[in-house]
Amino acid sequence: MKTLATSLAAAAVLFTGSALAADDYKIDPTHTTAQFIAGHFGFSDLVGRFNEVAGEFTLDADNPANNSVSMVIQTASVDSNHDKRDEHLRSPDFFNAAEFPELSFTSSSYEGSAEKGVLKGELSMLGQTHPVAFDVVKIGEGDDPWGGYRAGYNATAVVKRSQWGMQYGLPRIPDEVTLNLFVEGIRR
Amino acid sequence: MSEATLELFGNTLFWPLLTSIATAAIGGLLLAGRPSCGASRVAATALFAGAALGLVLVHDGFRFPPARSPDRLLPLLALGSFGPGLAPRRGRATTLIGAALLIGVALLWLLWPLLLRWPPQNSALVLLTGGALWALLWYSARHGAQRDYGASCLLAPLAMTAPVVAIDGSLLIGQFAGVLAATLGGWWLYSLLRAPCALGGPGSDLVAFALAAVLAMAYFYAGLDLPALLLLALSPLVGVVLAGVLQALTVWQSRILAGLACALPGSLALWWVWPQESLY
Repeated sequence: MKTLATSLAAAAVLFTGSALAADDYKIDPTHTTAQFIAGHFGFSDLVGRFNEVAGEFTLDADNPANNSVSMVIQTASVDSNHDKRDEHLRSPDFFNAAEFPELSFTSSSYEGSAEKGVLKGELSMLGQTHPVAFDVVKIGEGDDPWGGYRAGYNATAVVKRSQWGMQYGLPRIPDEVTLNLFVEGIRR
Repeated sequence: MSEATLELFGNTLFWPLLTSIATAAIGGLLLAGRPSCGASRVAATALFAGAALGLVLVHDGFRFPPARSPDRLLPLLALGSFGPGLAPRRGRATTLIGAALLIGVALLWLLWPLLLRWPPQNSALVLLTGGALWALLWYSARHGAQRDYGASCLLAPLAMTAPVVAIDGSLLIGQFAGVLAATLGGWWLYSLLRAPCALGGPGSDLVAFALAAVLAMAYFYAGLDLPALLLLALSPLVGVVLAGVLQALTVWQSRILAGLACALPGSLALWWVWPQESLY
């Protein structure tokens, strides 16, 4: 009975138009940036990024609700344009890269059109997982000069780092951090 | 001075120091009339109380069972407080085996999240070399345990560890070292005011454990430079090397000279990690 149900479900997926319209993309790390903006004692905003990003996303042109993303970021690749500060950001005060080498985001739902919408999902960092909602805007898609097909999006979310246990320096170093993702993917 | 800076100094220095002095004073009162200057267990209790309070104040996200590496330090202090007392004292060989087991357990506890990911040969190498360094530090602390200047040989390296680790690794772990230095400083002040007094075995064991744990945490989790780690870990050994000279001096002279001499390697470590450009 269980086998029959599984077969029926598989057949339903195979013959549903929306499933056929979905395209899988591999994130191109050379054209993708995961950026964060954090306050510096209330004087200014500090911009940093992670240099090692990987992942994939699925776009469904007929039914954007099926759009999904999964990304993995190497925390040791944090880069704030200052070596000593980067060492500090890798330490247990912040990303604790030795103990938690990766942070990841996996989407759970998407609301909106093919052009823009809200992508909800789970952000895992420092051993804890909490929901995050990204505002997503499509930048473009089309054939690239090398025979491939690409699509790109920008996404922004504001999170409170203390939710993941990153409490060092509060409240002088503000709790709220802006996350910006500039993502380009190559269709498989 | 801003409120946040005051809070930082309060949590790192003032409250641990005060708790250490208060606990030592209460212990001293309870033991009034008994022989020995407060008994070494009072020192260990005062140190543990001050350090535990300071660690919880500094690391307000503390959890047990540990969720992150900084959560592992407080249980390790408990091991340093009570573990050596459980070790068998029936002959040199069993004492050495007991000490090796205790150090092995401490390293496993501290590095467990990393050991799970490392290849076995790397883990074995780290446990062996880290264990040897830890044992050397512990031996140095025990060597000075019954001597008046013994506490100076631990206080100076701890006090130097705080800025070195804060600059070259983690402010949080640097604060841990600051808490431990303030706690030992509190007991040191108390013993100065009351009567010249040696730190004793249990107190030395605890401080040696705490210093070794902070250094291991700074090196493996926060990327402290190896030369700085070695200089700080070997600082108490200066007291062993200078034992002959120090014992010939008066109590005060030996305390001050031991403190200055044992701070020298830490000063070199500070010079080593000092940023070429300004602090960010």
